[in-house]
Amino acid sequence: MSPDNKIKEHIIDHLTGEQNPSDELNEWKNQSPENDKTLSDFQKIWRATDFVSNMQKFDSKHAWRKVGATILREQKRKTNFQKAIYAFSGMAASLILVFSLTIFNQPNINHQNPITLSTENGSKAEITLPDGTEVTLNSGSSISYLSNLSDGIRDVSFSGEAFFKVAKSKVPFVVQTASGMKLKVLGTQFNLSTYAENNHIETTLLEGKVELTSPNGNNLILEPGQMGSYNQSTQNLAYKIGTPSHEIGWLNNKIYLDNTSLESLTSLLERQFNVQILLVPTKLGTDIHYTGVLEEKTITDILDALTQLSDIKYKIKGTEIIISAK
Amino acid sequence: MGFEENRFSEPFTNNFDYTSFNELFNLYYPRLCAYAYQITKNPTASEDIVQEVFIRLWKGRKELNIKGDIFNYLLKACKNASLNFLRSESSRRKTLEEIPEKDSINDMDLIEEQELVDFVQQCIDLLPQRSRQVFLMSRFEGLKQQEIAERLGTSIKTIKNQIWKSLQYLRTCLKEKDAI
Repeated sequence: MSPDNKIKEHIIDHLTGEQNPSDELNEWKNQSPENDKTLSDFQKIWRATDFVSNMQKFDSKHAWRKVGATILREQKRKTNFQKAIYAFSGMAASLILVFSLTIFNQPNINHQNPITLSTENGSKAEITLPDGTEVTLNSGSSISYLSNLSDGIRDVSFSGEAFFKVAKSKVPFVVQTASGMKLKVLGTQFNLSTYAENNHIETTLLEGKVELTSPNGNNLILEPGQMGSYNQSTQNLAYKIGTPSHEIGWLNNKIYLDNTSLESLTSLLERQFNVQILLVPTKLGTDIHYTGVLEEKTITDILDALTQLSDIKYKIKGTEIIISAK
Repeated sequence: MGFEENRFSEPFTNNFDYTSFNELFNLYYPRLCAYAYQITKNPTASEDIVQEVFIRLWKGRKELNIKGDIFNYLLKACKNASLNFLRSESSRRKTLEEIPEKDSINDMDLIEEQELVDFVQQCIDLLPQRSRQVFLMSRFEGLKQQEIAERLGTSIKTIKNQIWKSLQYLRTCLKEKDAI
């Protein structure tokens, strides 16, 4: 039996929450299973529309900003970790295990074991140290730290070239180089180049403040935009004139040349592309200098560019390249 | 927007990437929030709960072995997280509010309820213009019958009639879809 007008009103008032189910409504409901079903269907529909209405109050696009950022951070941390593992190539598997434990801050590991991460020639790696410092290692570079890096001591040993984004902390972050020069910072961004074949260790400061200390006790304080140079044979520290953005060009695969000798360029290319370059005759290396920027992505493209800029030619045999006079 | 045709078609595998995850999120986030809200009655907590469920799903995607439908998994995860929230809230406030038992919410009912929600959504879209307007004002804007009557410059009786028409229409529509 279809409800009469009186019952209709009762049903609507009940559903809209403007009145409790009236006695008449209850009576009508109990009159037949059909009536009971009608009322319970309406109640179901009403609850479902309530749900639909609530759904419209939640905005997934807005919420994704937060969730998407969180999972990207998660993914980046994993990728960095994976890249670092690739950089291990040849290192013992046990060391990889120690490293993974450290990254995730597990207790019960030997805090005295130094952990070393290194890149082969031809590869770069982005790593995040346990204290949150982000390090981009250029080719043929290596960084070691004790596994308790995050709790109080922030000392690392380093060789090669890297760009550091040091996590802010009251504890100084100290980089020890093989030749004895020390670099001390609180929270900052800098590039450090210590390749053994270059007699000078170069530090380029982008943000913050760093202090360089030589083994003989001299020191040099760098302000943003300044460059410091350490002479490995005389142990002298000095400011250097240069262009900071050129020093970090390698982060974007750019090579800036400023009256750079072919000799220095070849050792850079050897590291970056994992090749051996032979200069015939050797004095080509000191005779030829370049100024400009190389943005080529492959070694052959770079060599082609160099043959345009100077009177040289090249031959490639596997990973060996012979550069000779034209 | 229907439930069946908009179900996430892609199987949830270990290779789930950022983009498909974003799609999954957009598809189910409002629904899961509304569901968490049903239990918690707290909009902010509901969003936190659902976001956390998604983040956990992402972090565990390589290890999780999800049998069956991903939406069922998400719905249950939100249910449990919402109940946990109520429990911690009531112990924090030292009140003895009644918290539904985990098993009192049947998982099958849950899914059926969600399907009904989808059909209702489809049927609302099909309502005749005038009834639909009144119905939306009552249901989605939370206006009282008197307020709707004033806004539309008509009587309460007319409003009651329109709501009644909508209900009748929805019931018929849902019966056709075998949803009720």
